[in-house]
Amino acid sequence: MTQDADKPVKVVRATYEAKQKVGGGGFSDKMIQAAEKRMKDAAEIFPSAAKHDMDKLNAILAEIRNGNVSQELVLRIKTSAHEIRVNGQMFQYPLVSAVAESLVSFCEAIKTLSGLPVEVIALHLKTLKIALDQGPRAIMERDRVELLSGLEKACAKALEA
Amino acid sequence: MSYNLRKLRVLIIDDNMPIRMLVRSLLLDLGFGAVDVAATAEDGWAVYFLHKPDLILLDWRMEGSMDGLQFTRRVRQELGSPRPRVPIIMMTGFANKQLVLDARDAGVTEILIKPFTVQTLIKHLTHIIENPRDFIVAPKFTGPDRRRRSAEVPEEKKKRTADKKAKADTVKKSSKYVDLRGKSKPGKEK
Repeated sequence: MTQDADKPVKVVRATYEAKQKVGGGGFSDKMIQAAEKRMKDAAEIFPSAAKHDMDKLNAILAEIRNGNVSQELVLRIKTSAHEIRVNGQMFQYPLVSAVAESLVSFCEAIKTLSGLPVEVIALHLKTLKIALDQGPRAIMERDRVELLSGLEKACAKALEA
Repeated sequence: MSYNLRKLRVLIIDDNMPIRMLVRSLLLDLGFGAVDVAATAEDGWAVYFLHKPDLILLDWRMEGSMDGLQFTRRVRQELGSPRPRVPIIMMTGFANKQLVLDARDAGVTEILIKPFTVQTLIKHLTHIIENPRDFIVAPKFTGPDRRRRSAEVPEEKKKRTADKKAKADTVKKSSKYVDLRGKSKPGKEK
């Protein structure tokens, strides 16, 4: 048995420190409404929030085009695309979220980082940029379905190749 | 009457600036007195030492040499950490089981899955205020007790349990109810 394992387990009882500071009564309705409104209006800041991850994705794509084919890059693309997918949902950009989700799924399926798969990644990035520029819900449902089905076909073709 | 959150100081650590600022604004809207922000875990560590916040919200994946889990471990375990038992809410878009286990092992108090709503954020904050966890210091784990004490069963869960019990009682009273757990064994009925 190690020396560490011999140490006794210490339980420090909860102190209710925060409760003592704030008192009771819960969150004020007025304040909740203000926060809800803030969240609703947050759609405006999404393009700048997504820029952080879009920049990362473009940098990774540039690395791939320069000949780096490490699988670690696929993981990095997946991570950034996943962030965009989640934030897209949070900031009411369903199309951006759907395109990012398509990219995540594609990254989970690809085996090589050359040829057509790279072009399909680039296609996703281009589509993401367009969707971000269009704003929330700016694209009609019919176009949305067509766009996503186009991406799906491109992914399938790249995976077959 | 409602909470007087002005007395609470919060630290947000997230490398995504718009998200960081959105969460900060939400907390200020909800009435928190002071909300500090940091873009990296390293900067957050300095702010943590300086302001000794009452609550920390941080992202899991961050650029820099320290991620959210490493930051949490330092807060919980490092000698000289000013508030090792501070509640920590980890924000993440990755909701897989392994992450939840890793986060709990590191000493995270609550996990806030993105995308989240204001109501979800409030739910986690209320948990921290109303149902603080005991703190365990053990050879292999330092952090909030992962078990909720029975006295701290959330109201919603209590109500669900009461509803289930009432439903079961109604069924028992109905004429169609047959108790299959009787004393007689199969094949021994008269």
